[in-house]
Amino acid sequence: MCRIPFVFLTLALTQSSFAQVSAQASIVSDYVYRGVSLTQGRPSATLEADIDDASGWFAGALVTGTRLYSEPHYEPEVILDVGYAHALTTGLTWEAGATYSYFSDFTFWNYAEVFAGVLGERWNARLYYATDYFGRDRRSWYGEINFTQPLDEHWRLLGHVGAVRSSKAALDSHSSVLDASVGVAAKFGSASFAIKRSVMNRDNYLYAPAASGERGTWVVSLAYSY
Amino acid sequence: MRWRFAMLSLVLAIVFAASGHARAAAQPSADPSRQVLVMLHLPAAHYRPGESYGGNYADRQGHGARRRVAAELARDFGLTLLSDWPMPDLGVDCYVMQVPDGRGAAEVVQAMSKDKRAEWVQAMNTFHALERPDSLLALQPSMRLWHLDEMHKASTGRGVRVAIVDSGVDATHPDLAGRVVVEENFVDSSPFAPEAHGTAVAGIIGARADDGARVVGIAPQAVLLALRACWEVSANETLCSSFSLARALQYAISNNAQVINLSLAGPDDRLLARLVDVAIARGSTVVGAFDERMDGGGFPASHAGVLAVAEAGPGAAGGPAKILFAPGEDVPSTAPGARWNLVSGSSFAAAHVAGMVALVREVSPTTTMRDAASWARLPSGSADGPAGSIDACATLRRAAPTTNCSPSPRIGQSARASW
Repeated sequence: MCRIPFVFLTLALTQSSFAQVSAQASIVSDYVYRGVSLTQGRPSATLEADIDDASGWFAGALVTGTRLYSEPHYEPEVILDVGYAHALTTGLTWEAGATYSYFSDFTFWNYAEVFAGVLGERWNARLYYATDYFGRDRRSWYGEINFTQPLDEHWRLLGHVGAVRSSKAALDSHSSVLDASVGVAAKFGSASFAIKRSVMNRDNYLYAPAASGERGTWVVSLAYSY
Repeated sequence: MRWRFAMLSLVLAIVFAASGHARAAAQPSADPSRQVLVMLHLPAAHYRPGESYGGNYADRQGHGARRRVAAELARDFGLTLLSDWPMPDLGVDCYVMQVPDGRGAAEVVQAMSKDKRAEWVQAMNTFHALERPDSLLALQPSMRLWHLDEMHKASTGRGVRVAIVDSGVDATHPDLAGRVVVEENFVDSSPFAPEAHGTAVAGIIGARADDGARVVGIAPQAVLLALRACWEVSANETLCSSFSLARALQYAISNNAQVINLSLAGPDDRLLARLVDVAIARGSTVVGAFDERMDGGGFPASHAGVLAVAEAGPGAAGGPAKILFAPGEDVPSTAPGARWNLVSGSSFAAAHVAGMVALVREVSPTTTMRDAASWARLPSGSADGPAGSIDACATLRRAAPTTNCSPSPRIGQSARASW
């Protein structure tokens, strides 16, 4: 558990003059993670910081509020990531890395995940693997494809398709769930916003939180990048 | 639900408030010789935990970080940060900075080049369109030399995407009506402005060929992308800058232009050279006008992989093998405001070649025609033009063997009548 933050901090402290540090603050009407609301349909706020080294190494940290199992208050979730990205050709990049999701109060939900992906100019595809997805002691794969279509200088269409597949557990009737979203986004200077319709094909009990019973929800987000 | 409405209201308020925001473009009125271009490294796209968009660069995550570095550089070197634009195909963000009075741009470039925060630094070069004043006295329709009506039986450039990187094109001109599918202004934020040079080049490349047309383009069914990167200084002078050209080239690359016409010339330019290399690597054919007053014809004509085109004339027979010679004198073409004009210069010879490439690529999409040796040339004594100039029919015949062009001068009569 401690390795990823250690690497992240090491990178942060030893960053060269080439490293670029960026940050983003955002609010979202519903923190929908892979098709499932982690806030029981309530809004959430997020802070994110990233470091990009000229060598291709990157690291980041994200803090957001979650509200699982109808908790009466928000619990912070921290996601740390580290990885390496390399441009193969103009317009095509591969990446590999790892993340660690940390819940401060309910630490048994903590889990690590590794990922690899390919990114084009207007799309990306990633595959994630976790041995203890949301602390459920089950191996899980998640694959996703994201795409975007610019409409003009500011506006763009967004699309996402994802599928999670997990080793079976006694209480679950399904071991795989599909999720998808489509929407529009706009960026004006440092501010951006998006509105999306997120859906999934069945209730997802692969996650720690109980599903809300809603398989589709509108998500509005507003972000400011620094 | 109240919070949902509150949030939506907040979002809309911010969007509408921000809608007035527009990144400053290169100002044509500013003196480019007082500006420098600073490239900052753009990290490869990658996973971010808060990522909510698909694709990579368009979201420009991390742009704020580079903007801060650019601001620091400007402050450290006593410059004014003017503008910026992404060049994702080169892996850089490009920043324009103003050099204060009393200091030379070359001195600033030299000093900043030693700073490791910058990927590279270069001067803002100025490019000019290759046009000279002309009269309507010596009308010589180019259709007579290239037998366009015969070539159009084999190919009209249908569906081939041709980027016209030039001054503004009058897309409402009767002979260009419906021909221009994209109009983008990379010079300033003003509405797209029709200008003489760009409109003439567009007419030569792709004016429509139906009965009502006064002039016929070489590739009347090509898809024209009018990318304004140059601006008229006077009736006979059109200028472009490194920055405006780079933005237009980036757009052409991102939008899969198969032919990129650059009827202009200027000094060697690292930023533009790299973008041209990317375009070529992606299969585009880049056509550049040859300026005989500059070493090697000036950039981009001098750049490897670019088709360098000069006016066909008596000197074509003994000219360098790497230069193509095409009609460039007294060429009738479209002019802003539903007018027509005769134009001369290697700019318009290049436009002929760009159109010709579109014809070839319709019948043979993978044939780029980037090698000057792949173009057929006229022998001495030909009725179709000076020796050494392009033999258009024979060139097209290599891609479309059924093309049958008559060597008789009959077409000149009809073309003259239509003018």
